[in-house]
Amino acid sequence: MLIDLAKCTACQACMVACESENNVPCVSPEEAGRRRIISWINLLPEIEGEYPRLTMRLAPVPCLHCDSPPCILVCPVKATSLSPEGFVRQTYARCIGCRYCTNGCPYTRRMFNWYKPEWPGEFAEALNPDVSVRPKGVVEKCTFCHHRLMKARDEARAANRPLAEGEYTPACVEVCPAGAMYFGDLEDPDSAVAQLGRHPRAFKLLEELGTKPKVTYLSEGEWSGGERKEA
Amino acid sequence: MSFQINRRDYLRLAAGGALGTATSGVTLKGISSFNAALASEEVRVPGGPENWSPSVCWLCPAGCGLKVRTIGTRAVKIQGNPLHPVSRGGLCPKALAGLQELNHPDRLRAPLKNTGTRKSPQWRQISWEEAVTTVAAKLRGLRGAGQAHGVVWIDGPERNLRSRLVRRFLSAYGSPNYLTMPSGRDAFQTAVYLQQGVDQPVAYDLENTRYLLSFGVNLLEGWGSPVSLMRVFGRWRDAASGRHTKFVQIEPRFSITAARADEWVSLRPGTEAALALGMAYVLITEGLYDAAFVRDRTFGFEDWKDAAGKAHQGFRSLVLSEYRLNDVSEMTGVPAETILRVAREFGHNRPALALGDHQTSTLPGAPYAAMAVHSLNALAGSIGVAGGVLVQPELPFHEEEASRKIPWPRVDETPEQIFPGHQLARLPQAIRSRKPYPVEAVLLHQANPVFSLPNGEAFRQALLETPFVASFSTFLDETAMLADVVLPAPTGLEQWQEAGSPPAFPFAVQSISPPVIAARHGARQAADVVLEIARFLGGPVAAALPFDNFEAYLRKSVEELFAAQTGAVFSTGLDETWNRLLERSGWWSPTYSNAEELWEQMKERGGWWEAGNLSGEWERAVRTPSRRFEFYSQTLERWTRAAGREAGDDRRFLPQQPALPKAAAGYPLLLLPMEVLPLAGGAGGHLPYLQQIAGPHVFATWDSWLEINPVTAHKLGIADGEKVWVESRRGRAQVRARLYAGARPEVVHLPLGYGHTAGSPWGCRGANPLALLEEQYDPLAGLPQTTGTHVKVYRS
Repeated sequence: MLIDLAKCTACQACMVACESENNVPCVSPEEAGRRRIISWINLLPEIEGEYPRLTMRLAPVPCLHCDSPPCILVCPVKATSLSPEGFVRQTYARCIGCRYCTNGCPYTRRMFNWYKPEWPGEFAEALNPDVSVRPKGVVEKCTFCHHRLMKARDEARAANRPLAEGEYTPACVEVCPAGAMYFGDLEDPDSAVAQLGRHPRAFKLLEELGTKPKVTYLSEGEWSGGERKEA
Repeated sequence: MSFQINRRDYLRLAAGGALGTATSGVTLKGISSFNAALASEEVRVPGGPENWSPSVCWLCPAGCGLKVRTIGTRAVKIQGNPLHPVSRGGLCPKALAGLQELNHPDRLRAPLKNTGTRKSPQWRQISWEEAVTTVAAKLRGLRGAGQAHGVVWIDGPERNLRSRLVRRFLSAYGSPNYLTMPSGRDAFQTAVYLQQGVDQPVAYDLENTRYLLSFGVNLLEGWGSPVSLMRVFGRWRDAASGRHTKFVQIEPRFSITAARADEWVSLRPGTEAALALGMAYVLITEGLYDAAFVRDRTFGFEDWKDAAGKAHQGFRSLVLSEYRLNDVSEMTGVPAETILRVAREFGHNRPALALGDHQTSTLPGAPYAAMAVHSLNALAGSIGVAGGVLVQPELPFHEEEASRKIPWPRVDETPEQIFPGHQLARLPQAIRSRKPYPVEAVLLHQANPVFSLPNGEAFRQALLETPFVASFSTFLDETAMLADVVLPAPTGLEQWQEAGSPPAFPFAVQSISPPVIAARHGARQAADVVLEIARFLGGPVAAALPFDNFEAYLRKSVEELFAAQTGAVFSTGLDETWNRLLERSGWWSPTYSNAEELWEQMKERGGWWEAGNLSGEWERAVRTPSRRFEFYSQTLERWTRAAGREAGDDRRFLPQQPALPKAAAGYPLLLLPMEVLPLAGGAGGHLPYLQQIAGPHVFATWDSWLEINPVTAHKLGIADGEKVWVESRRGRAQVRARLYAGARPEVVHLPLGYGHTAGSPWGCRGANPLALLEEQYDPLAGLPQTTGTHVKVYRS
């Protein structure tokens, strides 16, 4: 995945798209006040300076699906592992709720279910049948909408053809109104993510920790002074 | 049928992914159900076919295209319709939270009748038949008594065809009173009328603009059609084509729009007009304006003499004498170097655009200020050209002539104003004074003026005195609480949906979509109820509306669309480029050959639009008597004389910086309400998804927050997160303080959309800033002002 911070408008559509795709429950207002909101992708605000010299960066941060994820190292029961595609996956049935991984993740992208998920009134009718509901006491996280990959792969297999680029996109990327999020195969050097990943503005979050994240960001950049580059 | 687990499925589940197929009766269990100790969560998903159907978002006026996934009787996912020209597959968080509105536990379950008093209502569930008959019989009685003009319809979100249907009903019935909720953009629209003579909605070609000066317009926080704005923003910053558009945000608060802009210019609140005129000063003194445009296409730039030989001041000499750089810098608090640099950039990068139509109407004396901002567009020659200010193309539908001329004025007209307009905000006064005539019945459609207008309390009092009130509403909101009859309205997914061109969008668009799922709780589409009432009334009213239902009306409208022989059904970007090329060379090659085919294709793809040319229509863009853009508004001069007032000083017809509100003793801080995207338009507080993300920059959720500068807070002894009182001369409210460096030291901000007192308990949190505002109207057009109120803040 690649997120162009120059394009991002901080609208948070990715967050709501993720919550409704992945059956993420809303916590009570009181728990929300204790910052116990579960959101697999989050907007990370960073405000610097004093009025009127201010900067604010608002970066959407999903699980970065590191190649060398610290969360996997600390799990005592092998409830989290790297899939063959490179996703950091969570096996809820194995999770014992020790929360080592939530502490181990330097990006705080793992969330613990403190309560049984609740769907007041008829809210449960909007649940996505492709995704399971997580019980109390386990840790959950972004799956890059893995169920969508399985569906797309099944469809491609049924039609006896390889999976094409763009056939599988996570919900957050699909809905981004500014087109700030890109998704594709990093191993294909011609994919949009791989190409933009070589852009001079490309960087990764806390790369120095050696986590090797698979989510790349493009930094803000600047106005090019009115000159239009010929594409 | 229960879900059989084999080894392959188990592995899939263990991978943390999908569970089952969605086609037949599937038991959805938490994965933990394999672990007996944790087997508690279980959700039944009833069987049924899976479908993806197009729909139209109903949560703001933009009407973005949706694609809804349904399984049997359930809607399980909302995504963007990639063919829709406004949203192109993208969506904002509000649209995505739509399923929570559909499945909301606090929705009305049946029509209600108030059997108590207006002040302390007692609600009794009644049948639809009784509800419709009650309203229809009331209307028949009024019509019979010659009181038809005393019926008022207030529409919340204005739509195109539905609004036309209601207008047609009212004019056949005999009432001129089709009223809509006001928008902050009204002030700019007034300025456009005064300077361009155009009363159609303005639109902007933002995609082709190279320099954008936004005077407090919350471009990325719910303005216009939010999703198309975000799409344009993304295109400005495309990595491949280079960043050739600069976007400068001018406003007192460091909003998310300001943070995302290329540059933020902070200024003293309410001095936007002075800054615009200061920039005009730079453009004029340095010769950076479009001289040919100003010479050939404008009026009142140079000093001039009228027919009687009287000398008048021109825009140039006004700006040069009264808005000198240093004076403007002092007035606005913006460094002179910044004004100089930004104005030079604005002059050098064409097409350049200045936007002044903030949606939350944040300027006192707004029309004059809007004229100042709009004058920059004339200096840049950006009127009626690509990348500039355009007039929204009209949709090719016929507005039905009234079957008979209604001899009554609209009840909310503002005769005492110089600008002869209409203002919904004036309705309470009209009701209570019984002038120009008594209001006998108010019908509201998804409108909640008691909550969402600054004079909501006056509305409440006026509705208490109105003989009959009925509300079409999804929730029992503050205004519906004052009704005699409440008719449950369905959400957009449960009804025939349609939407015309979104606000500020430069192309003509007509979206249409059938219901995606059956209406919950027996809710009925208001348009269908109106048609039923028309049948009940019989005579000319029934004759004017010979449609069985809204679908039949839409079909007939699509026939008009077909007859216009223009535009195309929504399609992919590639097809559209091709269509545009063909149209430019005079070809029209539709994918349909009759109205029936057009109807079917619109239903399937979401709608029709006309991707026409953007520029070159000077006659449409400027319709003043002089056929020129008027720096000096002759229309305003004419209206002033018509109102029997002395014309006086020329400056009354030129753009100007309005007087600023003064802080009263004891109320040192200016309160500016703000709009946040998740609760844009002040709506959405009842949806948990939106409450969770309302204030990401200050970690605020589920509650109002008072943005206060840390230095100011320190002086007042207020800590971050502390509960404080905000008190104006009108009232006080308790909220949580958030120390935010982006607030000016002398200003505090409260978000709109909080503090409901009815509807859903989830919305009844925090404080409504409108309840603190003093009632103020601008003198020119009578527009309600929301920014002249000062407050004091203290610990509680």
